Formats: sequence, C-alpha cells, structure tokens
Amino acid sequence: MFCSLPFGEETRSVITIVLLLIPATFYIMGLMEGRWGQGMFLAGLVSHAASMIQRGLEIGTVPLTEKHDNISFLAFSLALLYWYFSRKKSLQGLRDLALPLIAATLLTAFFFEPINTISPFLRTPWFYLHIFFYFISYAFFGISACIGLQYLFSGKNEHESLQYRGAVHGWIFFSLSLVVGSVWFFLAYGTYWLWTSRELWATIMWFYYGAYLHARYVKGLSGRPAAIMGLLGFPVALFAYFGVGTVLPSPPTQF
Amino acid sequence: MKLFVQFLLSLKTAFWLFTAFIVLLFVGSLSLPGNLAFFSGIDETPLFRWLSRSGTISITWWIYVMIAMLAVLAASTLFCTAQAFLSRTGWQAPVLKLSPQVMHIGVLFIMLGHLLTASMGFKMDMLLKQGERAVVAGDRTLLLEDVVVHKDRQGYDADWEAKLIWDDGGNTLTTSLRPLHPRYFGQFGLYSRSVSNGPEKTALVRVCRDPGALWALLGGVLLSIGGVGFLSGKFFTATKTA
Repeated sequence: MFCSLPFGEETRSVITIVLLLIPATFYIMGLMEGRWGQGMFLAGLVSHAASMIQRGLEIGTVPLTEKHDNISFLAFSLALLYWYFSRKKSLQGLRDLALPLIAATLLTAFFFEPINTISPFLRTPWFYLHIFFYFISYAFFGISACIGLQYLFSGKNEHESLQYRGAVHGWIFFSLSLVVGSVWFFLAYGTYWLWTSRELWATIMWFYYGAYLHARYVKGLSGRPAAIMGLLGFPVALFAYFGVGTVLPSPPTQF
Repeated sequence: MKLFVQFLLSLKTAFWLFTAFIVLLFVGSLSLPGNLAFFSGIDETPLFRWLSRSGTISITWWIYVMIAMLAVLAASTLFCTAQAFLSRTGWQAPVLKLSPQVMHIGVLFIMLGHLLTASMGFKMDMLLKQGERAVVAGDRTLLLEDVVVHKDRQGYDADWEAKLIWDDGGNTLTTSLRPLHPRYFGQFGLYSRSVSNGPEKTALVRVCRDPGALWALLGGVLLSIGGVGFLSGKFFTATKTA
C-alpha cells in the first residue's frame, strides 16, 4: 500500500499535488479539436482516477471524508457526466464550458489541505453514501448549468430539455443525499436536523431547485426565465458548499 | 371554498411558497450566526418548547412564518397529490404518474416527523463519571461502569466504548455505547458523544426520545423510492423513444 512506502509527509503532499495537476492539465488540453482533444480528456479521467485511488490508499478508506478529496470527487463526477452528455451531437459546444469548469473545480482542491485522520463518527457507509450522492448531485447541477448557458445562446428547445433533465437528476440525488445524511446523523448524534446556516442553506438549495422544477410548468415562467433560474441554481449550490462556513459563519457541529 | 382549493392546487402557489421559503431560510441563515448566544439552545430543546421559552419574536419571527407556511405547503401538497390520483390522464405511464406523488407523500411524512419531533421530542446530555449513577427520567437511571478507548496509529481516538448499566426501575441491563452504535430502551435512545480516559473516566451520553424520527424516516424512504422510480421511468421512456 502507498501509506506503507517509505515517503515522508512532505513527499506525500508533493505527490498529491502533482497527481492533481496532471489531470487538470489534461482536462484543459481536452479543449483541443478532434481526436487529440478526446484523447487528452480521457487521459485526464484516467490520471484523475489514479489520484483518487492514491488518496484512498493513503488514508485507508474511500476518499470522501474531507474537502480536498470531496472537491476532487466532484471534479471527477463532473468529468464523467460531461463524457456522457458530450456524446450527444447537439452538445458538442459543451466542451468549451464544461472542461474549464472541471479543471477549475479540481484546482480548487489545492486550497484545502488533505487530512488523513477520520473521526469515528464518519466511519459508516451512511456517511460515505451521503457524500457520494451529495457530490453526484452537484455534478448534475454543474453540467445542467453549462447546458442551460448553451441554451441561452442557442435557443434550442433540446438544450432546455437537457438542462431540465440534468437538474431533475441533481435534485433527486440531492434528496437522496439529505435522506441518507439524516440517517447517518441520527445514528451518530440522535437528531436528524440542526439549526445551523449549513443546514438552512442545504434546504435553500433543495427548495431552489424544487422551485425551478415547478417553474418550468408555470405559464409565464417556462422557457427562458426558468432556464435562467436553473442556471443560477449552480452558484446557489456552490455558495451552500463553499460560502457557508467562510463568507457566512456557521459554527462547527459540536455534536 | 372553490377559490381556496384552486389556490392550493395551483403550481404557481407551490412556486411562490418555495420562493418564500428560500427568502425565510436566507433570513434565518443570517440571523443564526448573528445571534449565536440567543440560538445556542435551539438544538438542545424541542423547537416548540424552545420558541415558547425564548420569547424574543423580533429574532425568531422567521421561524413562526415558516411554520405557518409549511402548513399551507402541506395542504397544497395533499390537494395536488389527491388530484393527481383522481385524474384520469397520465396512467399510460404509471411509474411516471405515481413517482412524483410518492415523493409528495414522502415530503408530507417528513413534515409530520418534524412536527412530532418539534412538539414531543426530548433531549438531554449527561456527563457521567465512572461509578456514578444519574437519573434519566422518572425512576430510570444510568451508571457508567468503565470506558475503553482505541487509538489509531497516529494516536487519535479511532473508537471507544462506554460500558453502562441501564436501570428502568426494576430491570437492570448492561450495555455498551460506541460512536454510531446507539442503544434503545423503550422510547429512549442512548448515544455516545465523547469519552475521557484520563485519571477520571467520564462519558458524555445523549439521551433522546424522538417520536418523529420514524415518520421522517418513512418519509425519506418514500421520497427516495419516488425519486428513483421517477428517474427509472424517465430512463425507460427515453430508451423506448430512442
């Protein structure tokens, strides 16, 4: 295993950084035209998967317990979804929006130092599932926002429909994440709800996308206004994760 | 009456209710960190009891408005779901027709769970010292026998065990509490929050009674089933169309 190799802490940190820089570079090079671009993107996916496996071996569990690893997983999920959606002919332009987003997301992980200790309260499949669904939902919201932006320029109904489909998937995965997270929290601390800014913003996100999914069927809101609303959902989601606790204070859970 | 029912059935109502919730939750997310001392006990006490004791409505108004609007949202959800079941259209794709309604029912159960928790829940944190007996409620007592801590390679607490004796006024049961492994005695749940293995062994134990948790869980399960059903329904429809 990696952790048993004779590397010091500093060497391990350098390896972690390099293993993030490599896929980020490949993702950016994926902007190249034709097969070269596709090849670079796939190289990014493979090297990214390798970096996550390395982190998993380093901490001895699924690398989903802290921000550095979570953001890397979000970037990976975005990349997988981009790969899926970009096979549609009408979404060829998605590359120019999604690949920079994937690379930028991955590079954001640099701002958070990897943590190798895991609280005993996190050592349960319920927690891992909660985080897994949470970031899968974020990836859907991100790709949906990119497609929504494309719709605003193209005006094609197919783009609007795909944006909606992405957001529906995101919202359902987000709901699953909240349900599973509540089970985990109840088993850990005997409660399934807390009055903190973090919980309130998670609920804001749930209602926001709920409102968007309903707005699409409301006369006067469907079409462009709903698409703009769906597009703005992603910044709301990003604030719920990055903003709360930094811009907006939220006391750390003391439970 | 007809106008009121139409109001509840309208998608616009649902949309504006959601928008109002977003605004209220946003106000709350600013108010909570701005009044940390004031809100410090809100998670330790069932919500309705905390609200009746806190008094200061100028800080808590957004919670009251939210509760009132949740009642309207519950009624709206109920009416929309009933209408969907009664309507004759859409049954040619039953999974797609039923899944959103299952999700709606799930949301209603989650609301019911929160209502029961907020009105009839019970929470208490007890710092137990080794050999000390503490009263939980009535003639129910808890005694800390011993504490065992397991460290990881870096010296951090990887796991621990608080060995306890639960006495409910006649029956005595020996049990042990570990993180993520609560124990339930009748209506009461015991949760290990932390332990100290120092010269004086102590355990911080949370005692809970949450009559809403099972309803909320049922709601969560329905929400999940409805969600997965909806996605699979969409997937199969897309595959058929393709």
